[in-house]
Amino acid sequence: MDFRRLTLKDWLVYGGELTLNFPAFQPGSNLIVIHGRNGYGKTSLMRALQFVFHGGVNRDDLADSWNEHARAKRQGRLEVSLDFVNHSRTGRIVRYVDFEPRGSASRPTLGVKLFLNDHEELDQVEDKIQQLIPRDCGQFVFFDGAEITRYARKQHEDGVREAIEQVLGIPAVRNLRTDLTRLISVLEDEQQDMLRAKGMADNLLERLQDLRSEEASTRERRTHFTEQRKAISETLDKLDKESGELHAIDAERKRLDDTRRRKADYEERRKTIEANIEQAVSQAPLLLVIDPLTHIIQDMEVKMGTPSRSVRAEHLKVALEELLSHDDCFCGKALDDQAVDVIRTHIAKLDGQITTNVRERGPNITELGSLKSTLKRLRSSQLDGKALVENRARLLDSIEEIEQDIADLEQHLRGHDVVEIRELYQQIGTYKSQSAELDEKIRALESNLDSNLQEQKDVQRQIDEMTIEDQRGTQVTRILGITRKLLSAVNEMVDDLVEGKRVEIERRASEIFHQITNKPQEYAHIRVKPDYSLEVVRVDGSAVENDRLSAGEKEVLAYSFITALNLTGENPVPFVMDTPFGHLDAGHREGLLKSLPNLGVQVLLLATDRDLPAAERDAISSTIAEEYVIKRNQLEARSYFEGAP
Amino acid sequence: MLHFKLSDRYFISEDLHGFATKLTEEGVFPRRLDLLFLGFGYAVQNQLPLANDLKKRDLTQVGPSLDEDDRFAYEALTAWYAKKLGVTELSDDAQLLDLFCRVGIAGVQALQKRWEGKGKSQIIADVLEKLALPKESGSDSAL
Repeated sequence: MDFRRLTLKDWLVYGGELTLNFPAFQPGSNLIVIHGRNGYGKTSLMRALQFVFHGGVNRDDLADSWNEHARAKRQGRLEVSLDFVNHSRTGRIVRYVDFEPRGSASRPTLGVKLFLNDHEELDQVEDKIQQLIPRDCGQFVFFDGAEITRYARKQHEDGVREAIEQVLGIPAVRNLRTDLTRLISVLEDEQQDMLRAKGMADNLLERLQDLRSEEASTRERRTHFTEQRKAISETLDKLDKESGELHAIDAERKRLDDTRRRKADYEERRKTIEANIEQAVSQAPLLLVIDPLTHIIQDMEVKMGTPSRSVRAEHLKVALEELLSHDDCFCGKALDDQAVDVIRTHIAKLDGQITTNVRERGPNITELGSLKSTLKRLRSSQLDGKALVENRARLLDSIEEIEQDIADLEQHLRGHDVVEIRELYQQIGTYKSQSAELDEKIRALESNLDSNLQEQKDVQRQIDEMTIEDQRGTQVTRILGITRKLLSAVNEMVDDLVEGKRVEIERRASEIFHQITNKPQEYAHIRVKPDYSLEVVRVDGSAVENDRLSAGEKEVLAYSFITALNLTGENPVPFVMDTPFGHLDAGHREGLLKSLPNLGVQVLLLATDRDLPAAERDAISSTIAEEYVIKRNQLEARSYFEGAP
Repeated sequence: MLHFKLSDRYFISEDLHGFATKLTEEGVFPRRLDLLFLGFGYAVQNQLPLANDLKKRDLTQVGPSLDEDDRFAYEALTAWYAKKLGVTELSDDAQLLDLFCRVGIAGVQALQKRWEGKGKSQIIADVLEKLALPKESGSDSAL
């Protein structure tokens, strides 16, 4: 389809009658650029195109769509018409609203006309317009950059999937399948009526009925379990993601425990070193005087070798007193009184020599032994003071670092609960069990279904054989046979068609996306799921969460899908893009502009100077087929068009 | 050989008492007395003269403060150092203890100057590194 001329009469900011002519589509030169400042009427143009195809304005709001100068007159017509070419045939849609004064307001009357070849007015206008651009497909043609991100959502709104399939032409094929199914049902009913009328095959008919009931019930249960399994699968995806995060938390918690143990170990070692340092400090005073102590001991030993007079006397006294305590002398002779007197006299003499004056007393064995023991202890001390100090400093540094690590880990783990992690793993286990059970149930149901369908075939075959006993029965059975084969072929065709279209859209969308994206080496392609929701797939095969895409990336994703959808559809139509570059950086914008000439349809680009700066406009000038500028007469408060300079 | 009387008290000078308290509170030494002992060792090693003209401030009793072997060592060293300094011969135990404390105070005075501006870790490092034993023990001739 090509747009050829848009005519506006008193539409929104456009007072009076204005016309925009669009050149026919030419490959490589398909852009029609309409420049306009904010508030001058770009969006009004897109709304005009939406209005002419689908109306879409509430009755109460129609007056607001009427240009204010015309509205002031309270009577007149608002009109938007579009001339187009579709499959080589020219056409025109005219949608209008006539206003008649009523009280202080105006009463609107809507009308729409469709002409073919300029003069032939068609009936069933809305149905035929729906065939050109279905209402639900308008969102894929009239392209608002501000709302585009909803296309990139995971799940489409109700009706969007049907709208997408409508663009792809799938409903027509599905309708054929529905019609065939209905026909088979009618023919089978007729077959069964014939047999009942003859009183034949009651048991077979009853059996067939039972089998069909069982089939319906089995399918219902299978659908129910499948939906349950899907829900569990989605929950598991979320939990897996959470568990991934919590697994990391768990690992950090273990790290924290290990780090705390290491700190405790280091603290023990610090205590040991501190104790050793304390011991070394306490030994320090005597260590300073090892040499003098050594001299003192040496002097004492010399003096001990020549005992003092007093010490000698003391030793002798002790020996004599020992002798007196015995009756016999050491030589064995008995001690007589004379000998005892001599000994006592000598003891008294010795008393006079013994002095308690410690200065006159020399060193004794005990004191010398003590000093020698002390010196030995000092000399054998293994404590290396310098090494102790260095070790302690290193240990304190290590402890400080560990304490910082602990503080960081504790900060990071704040708010996360060990119990939470365990519960999550338990939950995941439970869900996986449930999912496995459901798999088993679904498999069993599918097996039952296969058996059921096979038995139905057998029963039906028996019924067919019984029905062909008369002419009508033969005819019905023959048509039934053909219809069943046709339905089987259509079923296969629908599945192939739907899958084929999906694959085609995926391929085209990925090509377009790859041309535009800023990350062509990171993003491999787009995945279009069976429900037409979208995912960006990395080169390693993993999917990017849609929440992780920037606004600009979502716009590129949506744009790629919509353009691919249009190109894959049964009847490609022009794109109308209103300020589509809001979220795009220069790189994305450049990529998108370069992709426009490859779209294979007209592209109406409504842009501000920010959307399309002069340099970028010049870069694509060879692809621009026509250019307009929306001007504004501010005195008269109306907008109008001029050709671009 | 003279000995310290167990019931007598060690003493430090009044002006050094605050310094000793500070080091004890900071954990450099367990007791003020330990500073006095270190001062004694430092003074003997560096042959410092006695501290005189000081106001005494009592510390702990001799009795429980040291084990017997270490006390004998300090007693012997004090007597030896007295001879070295040319001090008149010691006559009694009280004089021996008095001399010990004055030698110790002289050493503490020198240490105070040495450690001016230093913190706990630096003082301990000075004590230990100054006294770091060589890997090989000294001569065993006295043993």
